[in-house]
Amino acid sequence: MRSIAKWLVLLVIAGLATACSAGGGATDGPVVVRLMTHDSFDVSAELIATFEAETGIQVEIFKAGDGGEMLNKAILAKDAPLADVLFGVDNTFLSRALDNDIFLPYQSPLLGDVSDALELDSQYRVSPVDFGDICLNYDVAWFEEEGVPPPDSLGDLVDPTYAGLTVIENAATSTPGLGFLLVTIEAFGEDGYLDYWQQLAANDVLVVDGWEQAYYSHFTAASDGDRPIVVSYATSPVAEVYFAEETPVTAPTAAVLTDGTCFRQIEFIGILKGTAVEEQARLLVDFLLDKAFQEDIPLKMFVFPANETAQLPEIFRMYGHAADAPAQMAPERIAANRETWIQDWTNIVLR
Amino acid sequence: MPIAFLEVDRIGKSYDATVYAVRDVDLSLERGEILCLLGPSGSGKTTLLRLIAGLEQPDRGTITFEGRDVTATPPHERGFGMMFQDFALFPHRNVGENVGFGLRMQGLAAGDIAGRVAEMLALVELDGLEAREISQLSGGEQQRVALARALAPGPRLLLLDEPLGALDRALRERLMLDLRTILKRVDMTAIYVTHDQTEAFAVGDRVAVMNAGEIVQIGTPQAIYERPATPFVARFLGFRNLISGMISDDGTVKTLIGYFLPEGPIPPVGEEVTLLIKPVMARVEVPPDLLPSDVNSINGVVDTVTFRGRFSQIWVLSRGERLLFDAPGDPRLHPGDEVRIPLLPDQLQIYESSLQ
Amino acid sequence: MVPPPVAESLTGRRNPARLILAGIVFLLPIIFFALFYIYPLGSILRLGLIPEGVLDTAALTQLFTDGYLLRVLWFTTWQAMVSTVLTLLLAFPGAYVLARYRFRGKTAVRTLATLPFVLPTVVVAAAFVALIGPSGVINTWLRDLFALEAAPIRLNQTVWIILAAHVFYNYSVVLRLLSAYWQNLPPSMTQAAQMLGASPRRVFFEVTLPLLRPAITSAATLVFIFCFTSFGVIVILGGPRFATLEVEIYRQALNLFSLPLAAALSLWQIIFTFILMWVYTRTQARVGQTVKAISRGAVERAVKKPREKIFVFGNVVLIVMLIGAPLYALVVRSFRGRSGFTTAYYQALFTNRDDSLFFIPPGEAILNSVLIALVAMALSVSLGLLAAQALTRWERETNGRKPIGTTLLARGLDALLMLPLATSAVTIGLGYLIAFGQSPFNWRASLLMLPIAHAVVAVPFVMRAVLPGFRGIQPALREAAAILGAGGWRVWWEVDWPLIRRPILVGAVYAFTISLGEFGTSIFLARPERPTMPLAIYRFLGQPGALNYGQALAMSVLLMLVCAVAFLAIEHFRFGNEGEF
Repeated sequence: MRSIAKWLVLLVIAGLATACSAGGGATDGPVVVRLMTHDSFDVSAELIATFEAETGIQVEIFKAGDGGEMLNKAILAKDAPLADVLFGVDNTFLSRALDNDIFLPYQSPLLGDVSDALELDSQYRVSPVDFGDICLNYDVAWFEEEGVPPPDSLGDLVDPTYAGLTVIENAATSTPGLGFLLVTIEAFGEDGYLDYWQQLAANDVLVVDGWEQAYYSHFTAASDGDRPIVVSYATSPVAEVYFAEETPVTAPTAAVLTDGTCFRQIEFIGILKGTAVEEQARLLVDFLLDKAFQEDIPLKMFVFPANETAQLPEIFRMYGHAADAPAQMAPERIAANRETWIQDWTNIVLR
Repeated sequence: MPIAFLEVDRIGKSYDATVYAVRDVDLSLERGEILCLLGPSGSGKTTLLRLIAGLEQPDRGTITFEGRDVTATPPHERGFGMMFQDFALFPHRNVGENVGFGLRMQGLAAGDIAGRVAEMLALVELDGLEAREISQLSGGEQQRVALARALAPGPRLLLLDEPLGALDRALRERLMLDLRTILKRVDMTAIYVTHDQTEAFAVGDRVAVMNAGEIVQIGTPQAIYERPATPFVARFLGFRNLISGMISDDGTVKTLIGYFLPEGPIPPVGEEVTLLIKPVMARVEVPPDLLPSDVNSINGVVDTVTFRGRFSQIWVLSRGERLLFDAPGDPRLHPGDEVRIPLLPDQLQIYESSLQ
Repeated sequence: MVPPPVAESLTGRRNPARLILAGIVFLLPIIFFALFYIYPLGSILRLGLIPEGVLDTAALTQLFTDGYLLRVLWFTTWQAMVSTVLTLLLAFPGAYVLARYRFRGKTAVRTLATLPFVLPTVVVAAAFVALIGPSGVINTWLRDLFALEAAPIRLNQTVWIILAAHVFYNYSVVLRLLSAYWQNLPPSMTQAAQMLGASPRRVFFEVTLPLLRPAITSAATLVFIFCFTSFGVIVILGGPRFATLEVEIYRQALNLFSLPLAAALSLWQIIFTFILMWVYTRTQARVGQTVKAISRGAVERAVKKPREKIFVFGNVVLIVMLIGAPLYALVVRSFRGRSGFTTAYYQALFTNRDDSLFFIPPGEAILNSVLIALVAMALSVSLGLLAAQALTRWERETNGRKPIGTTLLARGLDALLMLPLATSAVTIGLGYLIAFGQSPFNWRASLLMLPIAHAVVAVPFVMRAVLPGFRGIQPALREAAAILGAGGWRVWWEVDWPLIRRPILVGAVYAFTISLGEFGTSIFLARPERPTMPLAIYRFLGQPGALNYGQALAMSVLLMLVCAVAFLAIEHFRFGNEGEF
């Protein structure tokens, strides 16, 4: 026992020592800018390499869960910020971020190329970087085979023809779910939306917790499920073509883009308060708003670039259209009512 | 002819296709008798016991108990008791609950169980220890609790599998006599498995010596000790002096160390045999005359002497053979002494050399 | 009572260096636990419950005043109880078969049973849907067979699928813990009962069951805690209608950003588990079961009688159906393209077609996962062993004689060391984020944080696996070994090691598996340049498209494969010279 114990003690001490030294070492290398973002973030390696070569800055990317999770972590750790730049806080969470005062203002010269409609903070604490439309998607083949016309409006979903066909995400736990709830509030008003949901529940709508489950466990076009209608993004059909196992002639899924049925989700970047490298962080923000990165966005994250000078790839022009008249809601209004709406919605749909 | 109490008829068991654990064994047992199954490990004695218990199923053969065929009867319906080498006391129950276990299985009332448990503990001289935990008992106490537990339900037949095997030597010496006394006091019929011949001789009314799945000899301890049926039995009983030889023209056994004429019938001339010389050394002649040894005597040199109290053990070297003798008291011999040892015909025995 | 020779040799000779070493041996697990569990947990709880230096009592009492939260608590408890009982019932015969019979393919069955443990819930959900979903294998088959209009089995978003998934996940916990212990039970116990006239049924209830109690309670406690803190299964298979405390903590902390309530619920969850563990350790210490190492040859027997054949075969079929079928559906699905069989998903794993910064070469992910798992395994086995050794010694020495405080301390420590299993991954993850982001412990970026976080969760497992064996070592055995001239570590090697070898192996396998499949803390701590396999799976599931889904399944199959190979290697490594003792 004694020598075994000795051995174990040495092992563990060695382990801890390594842990400490690995963590404690501050180096004199290039300036590091830490980018905190959500799980869906992606970028071409080459772009980052070019940026690093040109500026001498080293970019460290830290993925911190989904959008809400990421923001919450940023707020929790605001005394010792986890990063220098935050990428991906969206308009449904924007007010929470601004209320907690985690950003430093920065007006990038590149904002000139960004549509004014996307700029929601007049103090430039955050800058819009991309946007996507949350909307209904359906399985094209399923509706063709069944001889049923695909849904075209919110009203269709409560039609008995479409009973048991729709899967949506929990508004309390998922951004698409919340976006769709906001669409219904815009469409039916604060007095009417709960009636609509009551009918929807009666028409056997399925609510699941997250987009992954909705899409990959229940949506007929992507899983062994039995729901041909799902709440997803306007760009999902592009991804379906792009990531098809054999490239199809037409997209297997389609998005419903009729007026007022989509919710426009805008994602922002901002420099986190407490950063020691504000100067370099600004360079990174410029880079993220610049054309090269903006043109990389569509095929990496399947959302639309905020920079209007950015060219969309061919496949987007064919399959991925943004909604003409999406529902939009002021972040302040979302922040003020979010909990009440979600609570009321939960009571109607889930209990 | 009266029906035997227990009759084992041509029973056989093998664990795989080639090796027999028990090979067509016949055995019968009288009521009140204690039979010891004696043999080295792997001889099949434990398997035979477990076949009788019903813990193993025979491949063939029958077991009849009081005239009833019990070959297919499950162990818990045979009404036999058993003691295990590791005692197998239930650690989650105290002494009283262990002893009373079998009685509870019989559906006795709590009061009756308590009475019987007390009686049994008194029998094994552990009165009043009902509430003791098993882990608090010494090895000897555990052995006695195991015995009390096995006896409590009043089994018709008690099977004991090396019940002293887990104990140290001194404790064993004492307990083997206690065990026999207790078994006889309650007039128990028992089969007792052991690899220790002292134990077998001390406990058993009869002893069956087993080798390679077969019973090679069965009889009273005295009979077996007097005339071991095979060289194997002789060796197993601790006889060391086995010498190969041949029947010579005059009918004596010719060996490297001399000519011998044992009691009883002699095989034909030219037959190869194994000669057993029992170690009794009644007389030693010192100094020996220088004549060649007579028939039935050995010339040799004392190699070592070990004084054992009432007797001494003497190793004698004779033409390269080492022979062991027991001499009463102190024979006053020393290493290097030349000796001549006369032997009696009844301490010589011959086996055909084909016998193992 | 004789203290183990270690103590004698360490204290008896009064060698200060040895004394210090002994101190370190027993302090090390405590320091590790305090630093990597208590400290981060305390940081987050303080932030949640005492935000402005004042304790938020409203949040603390809300669980018992809010009707909804009370219902959550009730559901959490009863589903955990039912899941535990079901798992025990189903796995019990299987454990018997593994412990007492020798048959071909046994290792394969054992390995198969452990695979679910490593799979991320999303993947398990996909497997379940592929098997019993509305258009899954079974429903399609039943519909064809009986010419039905709609799918006859509709389990999605019911409590049944939650229970089924819990059994699926935890079956192997019971199977392994129970059969490892069962193998060390001398068969003479049950035979003695038989000879005393007990029918097989009574033998089972009067002897086998009570003797197995330490292992049963051990396994049951683990399964209960797993189900009590279940998250993925509830959210994904059960749907938003069901919530356990763990789910509620997650929602409160990350979706609703109500940190006080999340912290309060976390605290309650920890307290409940601690009480449960306290009660459990009390009963455990009372049993005081003594076991001896028994050679496999003496315990295992060949399957011979027809009845045995049916029994063994039946249980193997049960395991294969219960666990094999969903996994099989998963493998099949990973090769199924729009027009039949395809290896496209596997090929896609190896190509970075868009020059993504986050492309994860499968080989690298496998290597990272295995390395991290090995380090986590070594850490947790070392610490678990030290802690178990310290605990059993403590228990022995304080057994009813020393001041009651020490006994309480020993029991408390045992219960305490189980808590990481009961602590919400969200809570501990956030705790790490806060606690190790600033001095004095600015280790957030350290490569070792991930295996350390995994080890914190795995140590209780190793402890649970090893403790029953440790408690069973008779002091007399060690004494005997010492008298026979065995020195300190020889005693350990000759006496302790054979007895605890199998349990250690079980613990090691679980530590490895937990680390390999762990995702909750991975997301908080894994660095992009060191992606693990579960991280890769989630990356694929984040985007639409058949190829992404296919790659997630393909990666899951690889994860299963790596896991299976590792199990076989671990088992082979130590079972080479079986039959020795």
